[in-house]
Amino acid sequence: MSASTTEGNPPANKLVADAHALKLAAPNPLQGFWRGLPTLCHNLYTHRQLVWAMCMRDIRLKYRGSAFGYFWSLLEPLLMAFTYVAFFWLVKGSQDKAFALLVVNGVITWGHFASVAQRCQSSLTGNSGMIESIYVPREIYGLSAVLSQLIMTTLSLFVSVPFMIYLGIPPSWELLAYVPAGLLLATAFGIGIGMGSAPWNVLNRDVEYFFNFITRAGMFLSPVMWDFDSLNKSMRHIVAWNPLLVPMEMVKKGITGRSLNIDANHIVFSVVVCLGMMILGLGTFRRMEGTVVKKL
Amino acid sequence: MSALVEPAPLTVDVQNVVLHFPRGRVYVGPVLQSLRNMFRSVNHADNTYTALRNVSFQARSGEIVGMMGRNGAGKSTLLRLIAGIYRPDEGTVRTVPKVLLLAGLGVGFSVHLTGRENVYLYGSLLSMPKQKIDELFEAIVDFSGLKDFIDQPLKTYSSGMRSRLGFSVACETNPDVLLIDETLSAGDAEFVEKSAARIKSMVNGAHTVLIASHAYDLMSELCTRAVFIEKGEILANGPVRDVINFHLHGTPMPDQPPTT
Repeated sequence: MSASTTEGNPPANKLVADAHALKLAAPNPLQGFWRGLPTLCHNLYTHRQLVWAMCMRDIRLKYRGSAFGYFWSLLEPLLMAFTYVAFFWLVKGSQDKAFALLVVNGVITWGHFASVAQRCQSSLTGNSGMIESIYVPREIYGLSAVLSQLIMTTLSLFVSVPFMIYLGIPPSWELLAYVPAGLLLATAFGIGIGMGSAPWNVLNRDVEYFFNFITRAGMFLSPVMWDFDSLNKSMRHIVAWNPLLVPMEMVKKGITGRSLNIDANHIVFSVVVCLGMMILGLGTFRRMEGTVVKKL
Repeated sequence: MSALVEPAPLTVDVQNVVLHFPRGRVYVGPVLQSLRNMFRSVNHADNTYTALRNVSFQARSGEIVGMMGRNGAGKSTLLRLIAGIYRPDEGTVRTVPKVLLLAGLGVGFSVHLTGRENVYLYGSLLSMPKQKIDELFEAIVDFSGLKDFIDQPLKTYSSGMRSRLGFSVACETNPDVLLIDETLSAGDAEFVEKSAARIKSMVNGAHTVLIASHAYDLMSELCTRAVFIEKGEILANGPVRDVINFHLHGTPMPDQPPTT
């Protein structure tokens, strides 16, 4: 029989193939703070299709059932800015001609930071159904929401185009350099705050409510309705402690084509804080998510 | 038959796993409780209960293992542990890469998206390339029998329809290990029969299926082995009949080496 030839001598190549195909590994290994970051980059690369699919789902669902759809992302900052401009016109009288444009972009950038942070913060609590039925690296829930927010914010920045035409501001190199840089810095800070607090938010929802207050109060401490250039020297040193000052000024100045009037050490401070916060937040998230999932 | 039959390769290997769950023990008002929880370790000894105590469990490719036990015995927890959703507090869990848990009624589905969009989202959750999902789409819809509803939002589906869609995607995406937690019973009789046949054919393709259920008739028909879990411990492991007798009538398990 042909079977007897294989007795006690199993087909070696098949076994090797099986052992290779069925290599066992921990499905969700615990990782230290620093190991987390390289792993995250690798995970995001291998799951890039999922990140994109979830990002598109977000965008598709955002304006579901509304007649204006995408135009709301232009209309909303415009209406907000109109309210602020009208208010300041009532209180202070005449204004810089580009004031409305500056306020619109301040509103957009601050709103971007707040949305990024909030959506990262609620990424564990809001996706509990999915998290409890399938394991994918859990940063993906927050970071795909960040990607969709980045796309929507970029689209809403186009609201500036009619202002720029009306004011006769040509697109400048500042626009191409400052606007993406400022937006990415604000995103990094938002990811840091949001991802770092997401596990705490599972343990205690008060984190979310407290942060809602921070986003409202922080708006007044950031250059949304005021302008860095209009402050005196001592005030400038105080507001420069706000890490979002530089990214927001970058977007505003970039759009209006003005130069950034901020000391180099303030810029370095802001860049270090924003990127450092992102690393700290992602590391905290990776370290804690495995434990807090049991609390979902 | 050869005396030296190589055992099928391991697909799931759970060794001496202990899993604690946090719980609030003393109610001291929402604010104080929250503050205390924030500063307290989640694994603090008197604030936890132990869901799995020193559980060891193995499954090999080609097996259909039934999980039996009362509500709250730890069946679902063990399945979630194998799926990588919980990380063990002690012990190790090792699995092959593609493990899929099918739990609840279409959990993980987005109710505002259409059935079609959900199939694609679910496929990408299982890291399938888009072309692969395109290829499988026809087969998924055919098997679920939901052709007329596939472009309707999922919120218009009944719970049976959702579990049909979930099961169809899960089977077609071909996971190495399929974990089924109480979802089979939601379909109608015809679909249960269809999916039982499907599970059997999956196992021929060298997959492993673990089923947690209370439908003992279905399990004794399907499963090649069963385990009985009680209070977080595996008390019996062996042929389905014997495990059912052990559970229902307290008949001691026949003294034979476990199959793994």
